[in-house]
Amino acid sequence: MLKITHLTKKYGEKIAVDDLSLEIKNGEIYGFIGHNGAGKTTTIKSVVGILGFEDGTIEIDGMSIKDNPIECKRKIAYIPDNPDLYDYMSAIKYLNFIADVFGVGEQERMDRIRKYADAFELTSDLAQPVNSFSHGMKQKLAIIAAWIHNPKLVIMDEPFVGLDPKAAHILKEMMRELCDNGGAIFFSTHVLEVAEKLCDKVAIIKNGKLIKSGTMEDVKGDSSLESVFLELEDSKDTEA
Amino acid sequence: MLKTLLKKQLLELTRNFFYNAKKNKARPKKQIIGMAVLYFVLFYVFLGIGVFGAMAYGLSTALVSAGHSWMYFLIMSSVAIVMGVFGSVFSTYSSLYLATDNDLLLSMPIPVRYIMASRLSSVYLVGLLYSSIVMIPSLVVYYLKAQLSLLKVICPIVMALDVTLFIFILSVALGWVVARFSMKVRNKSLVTTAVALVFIAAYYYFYMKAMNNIQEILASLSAMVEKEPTGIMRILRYIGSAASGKPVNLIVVTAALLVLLAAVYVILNRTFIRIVTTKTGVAKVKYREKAVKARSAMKALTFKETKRLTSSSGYMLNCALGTLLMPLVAVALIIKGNLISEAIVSMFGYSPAFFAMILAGVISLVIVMNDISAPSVSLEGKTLWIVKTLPVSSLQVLHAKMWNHVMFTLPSTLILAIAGCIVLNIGIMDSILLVIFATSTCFYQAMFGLFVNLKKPNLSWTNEITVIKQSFGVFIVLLAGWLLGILQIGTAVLLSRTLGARSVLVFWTLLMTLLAVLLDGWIRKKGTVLFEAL
Repeated sequence: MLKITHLTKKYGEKIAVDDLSLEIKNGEIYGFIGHNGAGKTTTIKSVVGILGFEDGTIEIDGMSIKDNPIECKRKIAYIPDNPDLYDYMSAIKYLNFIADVFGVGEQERMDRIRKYADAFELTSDLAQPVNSFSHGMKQKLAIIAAWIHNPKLVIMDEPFVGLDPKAAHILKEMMRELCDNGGAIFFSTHVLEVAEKLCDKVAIIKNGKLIKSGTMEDVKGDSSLESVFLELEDSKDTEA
Repeated sequence: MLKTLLKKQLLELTRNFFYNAKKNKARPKKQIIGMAVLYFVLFYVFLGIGVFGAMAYGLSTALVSAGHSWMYFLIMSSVAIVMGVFGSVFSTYSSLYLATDNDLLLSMPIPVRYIMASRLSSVYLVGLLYSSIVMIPSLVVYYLKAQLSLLKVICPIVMALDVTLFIFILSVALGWVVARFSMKVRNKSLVTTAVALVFIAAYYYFYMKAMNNIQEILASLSAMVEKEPTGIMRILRYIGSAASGKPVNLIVVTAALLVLLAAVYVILNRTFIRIVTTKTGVAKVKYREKAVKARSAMKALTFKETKRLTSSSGYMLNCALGTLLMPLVAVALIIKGNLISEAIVSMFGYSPAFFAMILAGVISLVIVMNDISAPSVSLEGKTLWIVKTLPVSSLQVLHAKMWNHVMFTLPSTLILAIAGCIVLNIGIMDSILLVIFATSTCFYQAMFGLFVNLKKPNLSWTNEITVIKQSFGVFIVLLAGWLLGILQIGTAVLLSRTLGARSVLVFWTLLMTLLAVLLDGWIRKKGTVLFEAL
């Protein structure tokens, strides 16, 4: 579903992502962890087409994001680390705007809005302007908007930040449901317990380089993901 | 602490000057100096000397040399107030109450009066900048024409500062009135816009009345000198005299302004926190599910742009005033059309094509009041990720911005053009040309706004008014539009007799159409690349 090959992204002279390769298959929840400034957000923004990149390829469902950006974007959904949405719209208008752009049918969108807004207990607030929402409510709205076109691949940057425990639980269920239906999830997180419990595979990035990746069992073995992560972070030279 | 806040406010105001957001680094010194020179030339040479300096010189010959300096200062100060109010009044509400870092600053151990003072400093500076374009040349001309004494040197300078103070008080008072209204209503932006427009209309009504009085006096100046003025003219004379070397008058005028300022400050200080922290004064609307009609991606993007415009009073007042103004000019044409056509005929003789060309220039001058597209890319701000991750092309996003501009501008432009054609008895052929000209100019203006904004984007603002009102791009769009209008009227006057007015109209119609086509081509090729690189 997502294949990143030798991705390199620079900001001027600084290399933010260095020769990173990853593959995420249908049905997988893939966690992406690393310290602050490791290159997680840059990788994610390159995958969703926000940032250009110098070297490497990114393929979504077999198509290059550089060559077929619009077709690729039809298949994906993105939730950023900070849900900056259109404050000047009401929540329902924002959802309808996203549904219009993705070409979601009228009945289909209504069903999905009802389903997810009810799950997140956001239905009664949908007529409110987005600027009256709390951070958590905006995050819930961003999640509903991401799921509204039934994406094949959902890419999320720190999706659990700001969510209350119940909403976090619902999001985990939605992630699992999407993967059970043949989709895939790629998300970054600092909450290692969540990654450990939720992810089928995990990748650890340090200073722009991928230092370890694979199935959860391969990466952590008998110890916890936290101890593996801290060990890798402390080591000076680490190979993928 | 206040110094730090003022520095932050100043940095925000001048950020584009020193910092290249696109390259994410400070501008080189040469570029900063180049931009400073450009600003100086545009503001102080072109507008200051070219327009207001010439006006001051003309007035000084009639007034200062004849010993009526009070009238000279009264007129030039009034012009400076109009400029200053135009510059700062629409942005005060946003600058004071809608800055996104208000919460952050209020949570810090900073006295509220310091936060207010720092916010108000930018309002004052904008008013100062605009009014100085008029006042500096006025002072220079006065010093050249008058017989100088120490008092006649100092008093005008203090008066110029009083003018900035008056602009500041007016702007702040409006900001407060608008804020009070918007606390109580659901559709804040529309009400804010309406209140601001009423305030501005009232302001200009009184201003026009005062100017009419001044014109009457100018017409009968010699009789005026012999007669002692009465009523409001007496007060105006007292104020005008303050600048022309009467220290007592100056002290009274300055003291009155300081009292007004103190009153405004007390009101502001008492209400600032409540206004800033009151997010809504209305009951929550409960969502009820209802059927929706799906739209195409392009329609959805255009709707988004329209929603962006109509949800912001600052955006509407600063960038869409032409939508209202052009039909008003059309009404004025219908009422005063005969007078205008008689005046033109007496000066240049009758020619429907000439009328059409003059009207074309007027359209160009007024159409720049709508510069909706000019800040539209910058206004994406932190939400830019949304359009960048949607399955739409950059061209669709940019075209949506263009269509939004056209939707709000073209109908008003055509109303003005058609009303002008009817009132001024312009023939069918010239009317058709004028309608094509107006349409092309509208599209050109929309795309030129996009062009400038793509070249000079600012996505890291904390207050939208920074990109709506105070950005270099918006200023360039306004100035270029006005220059174009002046050029068009100039060529109509200078070349109509030799080349024929219709030829001039055909030339400008073709040129505007060509410019619109060329800009569209640039947006398709280079504009989309620039947008993707943001």
